[in-house]
Amino acid sequence: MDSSFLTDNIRRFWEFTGLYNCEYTNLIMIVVGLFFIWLAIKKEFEPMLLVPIGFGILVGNIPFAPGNEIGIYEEGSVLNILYNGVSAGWYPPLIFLGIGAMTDFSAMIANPKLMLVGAAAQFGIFGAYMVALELGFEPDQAAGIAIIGGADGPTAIFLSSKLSPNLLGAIAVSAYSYMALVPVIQPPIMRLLTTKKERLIKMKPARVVSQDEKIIFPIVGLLLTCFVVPSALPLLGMLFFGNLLRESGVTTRLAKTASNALTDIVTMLLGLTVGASTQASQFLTADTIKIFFLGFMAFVIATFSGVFFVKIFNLILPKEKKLNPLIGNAGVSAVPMAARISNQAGLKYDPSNYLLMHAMGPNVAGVIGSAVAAGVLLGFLN
Amino acid sequence: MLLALTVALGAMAQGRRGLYINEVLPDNQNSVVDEYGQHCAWIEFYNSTYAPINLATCYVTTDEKYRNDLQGFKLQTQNIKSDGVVPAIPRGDERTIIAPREHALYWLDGLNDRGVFHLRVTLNPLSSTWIGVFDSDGITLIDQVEVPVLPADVSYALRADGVDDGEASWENANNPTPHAYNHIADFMAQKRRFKEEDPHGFKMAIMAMGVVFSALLVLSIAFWLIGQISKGRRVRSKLKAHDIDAPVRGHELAKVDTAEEIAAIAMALHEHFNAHDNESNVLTINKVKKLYSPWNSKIYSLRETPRR
Repeated sequence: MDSSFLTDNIRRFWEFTGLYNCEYTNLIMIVVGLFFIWLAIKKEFEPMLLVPIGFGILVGNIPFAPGNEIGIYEEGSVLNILYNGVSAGWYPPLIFLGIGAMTDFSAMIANPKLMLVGAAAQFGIFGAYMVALELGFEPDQAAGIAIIGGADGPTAIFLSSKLSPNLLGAIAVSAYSYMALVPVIQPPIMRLLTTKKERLIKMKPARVVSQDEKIIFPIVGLLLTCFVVPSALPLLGMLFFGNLLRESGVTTRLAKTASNALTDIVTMLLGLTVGASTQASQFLTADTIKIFFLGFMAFVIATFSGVFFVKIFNLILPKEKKLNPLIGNAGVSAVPMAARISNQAGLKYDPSNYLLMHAMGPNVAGVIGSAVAAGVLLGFLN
Repeated sequence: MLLALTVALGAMAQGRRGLYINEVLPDNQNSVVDEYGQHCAWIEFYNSTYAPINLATCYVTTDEKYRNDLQGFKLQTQNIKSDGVVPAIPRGDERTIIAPREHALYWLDGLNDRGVFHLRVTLNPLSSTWIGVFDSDGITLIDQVEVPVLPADVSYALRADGVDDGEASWENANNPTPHAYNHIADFMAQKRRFKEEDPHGFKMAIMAMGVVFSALLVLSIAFWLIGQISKGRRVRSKLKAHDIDAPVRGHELAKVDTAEEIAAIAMALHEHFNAHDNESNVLTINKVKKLYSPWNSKIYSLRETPRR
């Protein structure tokens, strides 16, 4: 047997392996992926998101010889086909369909003024937009990064895929990372901005919302918001459609599929492909560090503006209708994590003060608010 | 089938309405050359929609007599078909599909045997020429333009791609832009404007927060009103159930029962009628002495040896 044939093929195989193509940046990203998986399994920080993203980071950072239709950025590869849902922005509306089908908007319908808290928290987006401009980003890139402040992963992916596709991976990972860290980021800001007396405010129980109101909500909600901001239609259209499936009472099977099977499938694909999009060559840049910093700023500003708005709002509300400022943080729309933080904070200062249902109002309003904000940015800058 | 075909053709014609004659160069001396290296007059189409448009089976004509006689043009196209002559833009070539927001360039040299992009139409640079683009039905005029007499290598172009509001929308372009936007600089204008006029993002923050607040405020007011109507309806139906004509001030019926109140009433009734379930079995973890049970029988847990 010709020995050169054997050595040539072994050499070719060696050049094809991940060991040959590995760079230290791949190893760094693999460690990041493992850290995400550890956070999800050991600390139970948003495991539904961080397990797929963490594993996706491992998948995306296995080194390989380019040109064999393996990588997520290589046209025609399996990962590239799955990634189309992210790059073309059709996974987020499907997730919104599921969110609509699993969300009860009663708390917000019962107390509509809580919607304004959800609107106020969106200042996190525009505060971060201003900081991003100062750091030298272009307006469309700044908008794509700033949407992290909406604390809404699908919205962040949707907007950045349209305005700043080159930063999509970093924006998505940053958004989901900070959403997982909401229990760490928000409580100190809430404590800092509120007095003990304010934290003890007990809010009146919400009124009972009739089924008719729940059915009217998605229809009127769609018409009123999308006539103002049609660019938010893919997100809000699906959100309200999912909610109508849930509340109509005659499409239970569809609502169950949308809220369970469909959402689970899309979440898996979304998480995995977003994780895989963080290939070291694309991800480990100075911009990524700036994006993580801006994402943190966006969350801080959003929490601050939500809580602060409730304090200001209380100045004009009658005594018996005052709001507990601890629900202000929930306006950032990380559903239902942010509302749970409000509830825990309320119980900490008064074990009989349950704020969960009150906080769900601004929380779901935040989902609508961040989608509207994304639509506004898209309308202005696209 | 006929209905579906009619609807489909209608939808196609409607889709082609997003097609525009975007730029025309009647006298090509030094502009782009065709695949044969020839300087020919050319026409550029622009797909202003966000869906692909197929130009196949569309007609391009410069015959002015059909400008106001669409039926006449239809008869002419029918004659062309019956004579076996290929329509202006042939079908069967994927290159006739114009991608969304893209341009397509066709040569007006009258030599359609040179390929799909060569039309059976010529332009006379010494006189103004009307150009009309008809849909495949031969009646629907998709777009038209009156090209004036122009110097060599000067094109007649829309100021903004796909925006045709009459003669004022057109200009003589000294630098023709085949296969490209007529004013590339304008394409980036919005972003540039934001960067120049709002370098710190304050104006954007104010405008965008204003829109977000307005949208949610409108929604909030709408649902406050819907809530009031709903509460009123509930009280009225309750009064009707109790056969009371009008709510009495301070009357308890005027208030809507909360879920907690309903739960308390249900519990009180439950207690009053002593209607609890009869718990017949006791769940225990204490060992129960029992000599035989199929669960611990070896007969059921061993498999019999198969017989030969």
